[in-house]
Amino acid sequence: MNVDEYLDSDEFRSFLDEGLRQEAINAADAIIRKGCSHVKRHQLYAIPTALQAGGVGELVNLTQNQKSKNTKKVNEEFWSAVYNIVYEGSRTDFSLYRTVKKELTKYGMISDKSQGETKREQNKIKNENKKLIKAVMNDELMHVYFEHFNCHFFYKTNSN
Amino acid sequence: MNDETNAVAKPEISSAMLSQIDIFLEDFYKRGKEAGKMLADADLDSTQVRGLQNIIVSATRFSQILNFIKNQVGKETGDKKEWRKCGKQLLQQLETLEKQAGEMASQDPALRLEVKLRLARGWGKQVVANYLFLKRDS
Repeated sequence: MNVDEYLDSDEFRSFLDEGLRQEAINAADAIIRKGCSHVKRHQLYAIPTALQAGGVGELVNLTQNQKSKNTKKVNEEFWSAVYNIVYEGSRTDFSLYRTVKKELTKYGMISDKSQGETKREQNKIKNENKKLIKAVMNDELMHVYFEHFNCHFFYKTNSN
Repeated sequence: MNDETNAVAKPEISSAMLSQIDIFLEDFYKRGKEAGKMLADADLDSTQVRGLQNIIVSATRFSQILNFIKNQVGKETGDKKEWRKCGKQLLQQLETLEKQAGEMASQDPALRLEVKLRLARGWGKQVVANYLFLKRDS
């Protein structure tokens, strides 16, 4: 299936409701375990605001700015962790890029770059894969991911 | 929270599946009733419970219901503890419904999503009805 078919599919809806939710929960739990449970609520509210204002790009800018300007260690750690989730170059455990790539691989949508005979062909495959993954990491997916993330974060840090 | 605005065609649910859903909800009634009592004992007021009812009825994703409850627990401050008293158990009951939907429709994502929402709506009716009954004289 192509990317438009996938974005219209029940598989994508199911991913938003289930798989993506579990990834967001795991990421929030890990960040809390690292000691970020005292991050103030308004820090998390900034995430959907940034998405609303300017989509994924604005969110990446926000996380970059926040992690570099924050003098409070807990905030700096929190924003570094969120940056590692949203930045497409991130290959850390909770990277959304990796999560989406893994999901699309299930449907045979990610080509194996070793199928390219030349370096040029391999790079072409790699770039096509990247374009596909970024198309799925759209505003809707990011909104839903951070709905899961923020709600779980608030719940875990306030339920004791 | 973000709502998906795309209209989605609902899958056909067979009458056999509808029966299974009804039978499960019948068996689950005691727990739904307990959840209603929990909301009443936690002193949630009716606007809060109506809020829960509204999200259950209008949700296009099952996780919107889970996230609503988590958010309500998360935003309580100071001495207010109503949602904190019952949030965990409500989430556990919803997780049971989700697991049941997974068993009933494991191979079909559209059907599984629809079954989850139907189970949640049936459960929501049980919870709210019992809450309102217990609060009737307040």
